[in-house]
Amino acid sequence: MADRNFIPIGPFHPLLEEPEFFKFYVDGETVVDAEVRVGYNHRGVEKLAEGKTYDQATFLVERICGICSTSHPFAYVQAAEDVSGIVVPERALFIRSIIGDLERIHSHLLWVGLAAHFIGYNTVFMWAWKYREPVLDVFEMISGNRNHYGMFKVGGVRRDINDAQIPSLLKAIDEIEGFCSMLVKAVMDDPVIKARTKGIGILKKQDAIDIGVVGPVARASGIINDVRKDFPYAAYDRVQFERVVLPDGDVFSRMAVRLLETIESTKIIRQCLKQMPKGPIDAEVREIGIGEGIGQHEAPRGEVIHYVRSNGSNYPERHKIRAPSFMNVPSFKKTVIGQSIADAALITAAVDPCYCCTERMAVLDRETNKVLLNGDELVRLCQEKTEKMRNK
Amino acid sequence: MRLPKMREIGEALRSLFSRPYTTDFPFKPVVPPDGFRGKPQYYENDCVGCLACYEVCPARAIDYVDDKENRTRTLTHHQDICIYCQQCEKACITEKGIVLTKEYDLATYDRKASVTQSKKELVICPHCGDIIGCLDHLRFLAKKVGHLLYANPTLLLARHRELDALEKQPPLESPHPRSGHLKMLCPNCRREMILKEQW
Repeated sequence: MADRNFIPIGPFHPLLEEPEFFKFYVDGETVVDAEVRVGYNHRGVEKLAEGKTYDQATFLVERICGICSTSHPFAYVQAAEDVSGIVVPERALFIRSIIGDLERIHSHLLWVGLAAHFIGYNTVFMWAWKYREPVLDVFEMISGNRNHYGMFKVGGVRRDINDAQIPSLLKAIDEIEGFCSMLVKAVMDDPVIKARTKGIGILKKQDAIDIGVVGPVARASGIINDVRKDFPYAAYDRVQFERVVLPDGDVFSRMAVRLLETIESTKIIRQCLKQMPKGPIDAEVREIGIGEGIGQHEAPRGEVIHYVRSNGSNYPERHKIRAPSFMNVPSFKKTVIGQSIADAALITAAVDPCYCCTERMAVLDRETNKVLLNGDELVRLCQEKTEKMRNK
Repeated sequence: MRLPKMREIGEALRSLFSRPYTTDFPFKPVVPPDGFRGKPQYYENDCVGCLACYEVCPARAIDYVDDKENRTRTLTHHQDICIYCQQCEKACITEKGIVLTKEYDLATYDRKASVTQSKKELVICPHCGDIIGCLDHLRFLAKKVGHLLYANPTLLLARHRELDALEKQPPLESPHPRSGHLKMLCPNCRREMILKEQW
């Protein structure tokens, strides 16, 4: 390695602005090897959860991630319910599905905007974030907050969607679907985006299976994988929707999978709002018995798993969290090698890594680094490449 | 490659002739929707100092100080730690003691200013000096249990202010069997007093 140059990216992701560290070994402009290091953002959430009651821990796990803030409580409450077999009322299941899929829309739109900004295509960035705003307004209407909805509790949900809200919600969903389908067509037909993302950072199906990637990254590599269909939970077995699976595995497919999923999500929400039965929104939970429980949820980034062990007290004895990015981040090793530096940061962003979710453990390394290029310069490089292609 | 697409032209034209999508926030206040979870506010008249909000707070944003000398309990809610989850409002036994307002503009230079407090009068056991509870809490319970309060002298005395049982009583050397009956005693002292009288 002595005769090769390397480029450290981090410990701050140039695109997603989160702490992690990539070391790209380069030969000229081509990346020949990559190292990934995480562990800059360890907050000890699992240990903190052991000091909180089951009810309080939903608010703690909600704050693991700021973007997909519902996915962790979703999995956590299912794990806690799994311990003692609590039966959740039907209406609560539908509300859970509505919240879960609204979040998928806003998270995917956020990612598309960021990726477009990174390519240097700020129009798409503005549009995607503009159309994400109505989704957040819907959240504010339902839960009282734009983010960190605080809707989940063990045994049900905390707030009801009243009947007066449903027509305005349906109208908002129709508008969101209109925006999303416009954005899908605009992005998928765009020659510049196609030129920058097609055939870049390919993750082959076999590699994807070997690494065990989940969520949109797996579906973009042709793996049919979606917890909502494979192990139906909440109200997902009562609604019709398609799994978006594309065979190519490049950055464009991942973008397409995410964009098409937003439209599927609007379908799920509409069906849920129409089919929602009347009744109570939470079951009375007297105690969590002794035992173990597992909860799964298809978060916007993939499958998130929570494991809870209970010893019959008010506090969980052990709480283990497996975030989707933990599975997706190692795929950089396969996707980045052989690509140019200008594409490398885009590829690393294409799995939509969420480091604050992933930081469950710390992997430390003592090597010293020499800085050749920093994050800002990498963004500039990536944007310049698009500019060059445009002017051709 | 540079051929423009009609639907994006439409979108661009629409954007050209409409107002900016962003709001004029600092100049025009934003009205939050109903049910918005803003700054929590203590209302001293309705708060009874029962500490239910303190118990449920997941962020431990609420703490309390018991001052036995001045017989006050001060509940303090810290906005800088608060996560605005509304659990305190939902757990409040009077439902009006701490309420989330619609206020969201909470930036401040002084961290100590970002608190809301509720001061309640404490009732101290005249024998052992332990805390029995807040006066308003005992009265609230007395109202709630109805005629059953005659079984509990502490609640009864709290209800009947005219008995002046709340003035500083001389400290009891031992829970005297007879006079101890109509005193506000903590549960431990009352148990001791009744047992001594019976046997």
